[in-house]
Amino acid sequence: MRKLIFVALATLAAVANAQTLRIGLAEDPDILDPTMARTFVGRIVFAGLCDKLFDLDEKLNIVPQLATGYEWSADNKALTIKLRSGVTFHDGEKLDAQAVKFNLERHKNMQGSNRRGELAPVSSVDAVDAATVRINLSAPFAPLLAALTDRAGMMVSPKAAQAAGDKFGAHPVCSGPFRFVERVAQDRIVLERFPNYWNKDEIHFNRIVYLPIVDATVRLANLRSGQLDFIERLAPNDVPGLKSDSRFKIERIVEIGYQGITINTGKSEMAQKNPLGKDPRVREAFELSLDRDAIVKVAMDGEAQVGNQWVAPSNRYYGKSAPIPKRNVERAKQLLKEAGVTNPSFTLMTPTESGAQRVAQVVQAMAKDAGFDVKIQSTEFATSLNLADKGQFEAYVLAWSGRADPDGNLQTFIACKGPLNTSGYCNPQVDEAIEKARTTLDPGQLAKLYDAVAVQVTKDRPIVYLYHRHWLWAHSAKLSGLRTIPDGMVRVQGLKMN
Amino acid sequence: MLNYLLQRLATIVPTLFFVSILIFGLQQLLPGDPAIALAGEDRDPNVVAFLRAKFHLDEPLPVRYWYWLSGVLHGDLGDSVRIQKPVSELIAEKLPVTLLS
Repeated sequence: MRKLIFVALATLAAVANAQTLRIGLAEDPDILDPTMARTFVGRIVFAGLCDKLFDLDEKLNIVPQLATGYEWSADNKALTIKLRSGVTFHDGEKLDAQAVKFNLERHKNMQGSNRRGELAPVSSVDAVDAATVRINLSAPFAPLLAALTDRAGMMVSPKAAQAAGDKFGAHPVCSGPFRFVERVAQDRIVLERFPNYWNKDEIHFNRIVYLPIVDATVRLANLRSGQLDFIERLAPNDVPGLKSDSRFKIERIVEIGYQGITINTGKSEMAQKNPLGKDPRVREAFELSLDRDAIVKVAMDGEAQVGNQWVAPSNRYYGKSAPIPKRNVERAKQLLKEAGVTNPSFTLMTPTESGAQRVAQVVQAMAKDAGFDVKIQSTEFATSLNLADKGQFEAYVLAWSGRADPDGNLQTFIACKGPLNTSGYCNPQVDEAIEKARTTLDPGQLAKLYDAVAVQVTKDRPIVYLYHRHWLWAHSAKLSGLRTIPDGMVRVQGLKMN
Repeated sequence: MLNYLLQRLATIVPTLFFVSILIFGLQQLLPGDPAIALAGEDRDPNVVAFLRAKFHLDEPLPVRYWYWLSGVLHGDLGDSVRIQKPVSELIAEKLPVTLLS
């Protein structure tokens, strides 16, 4: 009898386990309020918790989620969105046009909102009827749709948001496939299946538990021992060891962001005091001294795609007229000679994080072959951002997590008045093309515009783009239905344990 | 014995006061601007300004210390900057484990 009970209990436990998906995260997310949130890892949790107006597919196409369709006005200054009917929030409130209006206005007006910049051109929102919303813009802004595939497009329950005020993030109420149960700081975030989810047939788990485990080795050990079903950000050097284990599978996604070296070409007078900032020929020589394939091999264990633009070569808006230059030390030396500087020296500010340090060291060694004396200046991350914003640097190793629309990787850094233009670069022709791209909806025309921008920017080199990291996921081989979408978020719809 | 205990208790107050100044001071030695560190990748100027005002970062050190101290004396340990939950709640979550095991 005792044995029977034991077997019954064990079976029950197994069933219960199969209905819980345990995901290991590389960091503890920040606040779970789509308006205030700012971390990459928080967005992974939002993917289970909060649906968005639109979503992305594997090819970065914009597809409906809470919206069923959209239409631009003739002057491209208004976007009309049709909403899915019968959608409710986790608290039973209805998701209608008024709710969408409330959310977009909350993103725009809430104190400390991190979404304000993404929605800057939005001047007003009209609830046309219960299922139709019109977003009015001060100027045409094609990247708006891409913003609505991320946190700016996440809808929270207006009633819950009004009641909770700035404490909303402690008990978020959205309309996604899972609802919030509890959060224990630095330990776990627990979500449970939302029975009234509009797409509930695609949901095959009762619970999801997100567990932040910062150490990549410990995260992997937990996957191997069966404590976790899925981990994000597998360390590149753990790939070979795991590949041979048939109990697990590895997924590889090329990120939408990039890693590069920002050069101070005009941010402060330091730019003119250094040959690298002053003379485009010296920057060309620097780029030609680099072998991107070797950088990726040495610094990233091969787990990145080389690139020379703000989007990866596999992106449809990659400028094909500006391909990746091959390493050419002889030509680099010649360029330096023409510029009249045979042994230029500059300081490469590098955040203390180990990945950036490795990149800096490889770059230092390669550039030396052409005659460059690169001095690495290791700087704590927040301090490095401060110095970069003040223009107190010559060159800076910096990554960008990326946006689905190329504009989000480009305008901010390259436009004369881009909010994160730490290079101090300003080219009126490039600015004009970037502005034009923002008002262009036709993909063919857009590709042409970005191609022209790529030709100019890769010649001026305010940023020497190096590579695009792979998001590495590892999971139990029994888990199926995973979609590898370049934004690196884990879609829970369709996920199943076989 | 009672005298001894009272004496010890009396010394706790200045000790805690000095320790609190020391810890508060150490925190100021951390490199980088906390508002920039908290503002996220976009470093939106609106967000940075909001955070500066929220944490009184533009005010002189003694004033900031006073804000913190008066909060503590009213049982308000502030909010965790990481997940924006009250610190007292976070301690309450974990304290039972410390006391019971």
